[in-house]
Amino acid sequence: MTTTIAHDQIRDTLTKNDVVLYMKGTKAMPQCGFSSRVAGVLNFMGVDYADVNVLADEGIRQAIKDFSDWPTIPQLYVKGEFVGGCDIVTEMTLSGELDQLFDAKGIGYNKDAAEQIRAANA
Amino acid sequence: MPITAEEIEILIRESFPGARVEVQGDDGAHFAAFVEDESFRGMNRVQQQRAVYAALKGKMDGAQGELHALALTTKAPE
Repeated sequence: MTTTIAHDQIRDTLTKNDVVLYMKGTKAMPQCGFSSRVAGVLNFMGVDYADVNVLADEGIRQAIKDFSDWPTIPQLYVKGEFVGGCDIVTEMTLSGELDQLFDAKGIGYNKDAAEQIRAANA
Repeated sequence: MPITAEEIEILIRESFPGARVEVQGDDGAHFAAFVEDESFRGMNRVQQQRAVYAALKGKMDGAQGELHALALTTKAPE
């Protein structure tokens, strides 16, 4: 796959899905602790998101890093915008900034579940 | 080739000479780094972490990247 085609494919995925997680493995079966942590947060918060398994597509695996200028997986996107990797998403979850982002972008999630995560990590 | 926490710290310090840097991890692949630098002021977290990744000069990249896992915490001084 050429870089251009891979980038078109990424843009297409980001256009069609409000929340996208590029990860190692799938949301049902993550294959890396960092991917697992972010998928776990989104699953627990009941967010409707598309998961893209980069281990299943070497072209996308490299292209997504160039696309976001970010060298690691996972990568979370909301409404086409790169939000961050595992550490940033974790910090944002615990600070409540992820809730604010979802609120601002009109993304549905379970507020109680988010509070539960924060209470458990307080 | 495995990398050490010390080498990571040296790479980060080259780019952020005045920063407070702490790197932990001794298994050659999984590390945690904390970087606090004045240059981060006004940057969001993505921009801050991009800057640290840039300092690591591609060591995060690819399946053969020496650094499989780097938990990163960045901030500007309070």
